[in-house]
Amino acid sequence: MKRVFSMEEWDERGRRMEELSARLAQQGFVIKRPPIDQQTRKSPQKRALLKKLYGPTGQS
Amino acid sequence: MDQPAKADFKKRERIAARVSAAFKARGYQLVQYGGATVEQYSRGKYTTSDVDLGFVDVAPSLDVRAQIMESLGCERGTRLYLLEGVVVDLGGQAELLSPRLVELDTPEGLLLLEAPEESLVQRVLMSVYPQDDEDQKKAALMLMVQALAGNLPLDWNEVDRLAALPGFKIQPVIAAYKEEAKKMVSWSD
Repeated sequence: MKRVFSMEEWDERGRRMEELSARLAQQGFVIKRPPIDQQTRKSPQKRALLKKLYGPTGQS
Repeated sequence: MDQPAKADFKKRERIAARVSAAFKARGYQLVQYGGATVEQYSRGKYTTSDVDLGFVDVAPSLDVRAQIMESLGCERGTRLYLLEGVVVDLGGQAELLSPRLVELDTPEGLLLLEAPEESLVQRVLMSVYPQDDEDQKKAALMLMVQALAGNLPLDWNEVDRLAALPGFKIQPVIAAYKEEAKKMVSWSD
């Protein structure tokens, strides 16, 4: 049942994903993550570490 | 994707593969799951800034986990490790609902990912439970759009099977989102 992909094939799929995402972004569809303090599904320890590393967004 | 974001996403992919290879050498199989896998399946459009990994079948003791992570250059820890500036969340045995895993043959080694069907159904559930969550809905729509466009390998029958499981029961939400995703694919043509 496992599906195996070479990086060449996966990156080609990824290139097409990026093209499609760019067209969706032109239509206003973007995923904006909330600040790290509001990502309450992450453990408090992980939120604290991500905030320390990357600031309030928690994103690198 | 802007270049810094893409570099971060690819770096997390390399780190996940490197950690997986180190554990595989000791006889343990890791799988990436959760938000980190949604990041992979959305090509970095949904970002988590960390790598979530768990064990398929047998999980080693905390001491063995720490030893292996230390061998990669991490400071001793119990669950959260920092490797080359990437937070690695090393959980216990992963509770996988779908066997349709994806494996990437990366230059750093094999990287096993939670099934895209499971990633999708989890995001759909999180978009409505415990309360509506627009961020999670958009992540689910992005996965659906990529699947409908043929970019993400996804079996809709498996999505339906997972959506009907007792912990989910979200078939109507899946159906509604799929209609939205179809419209989005048509705008992007």
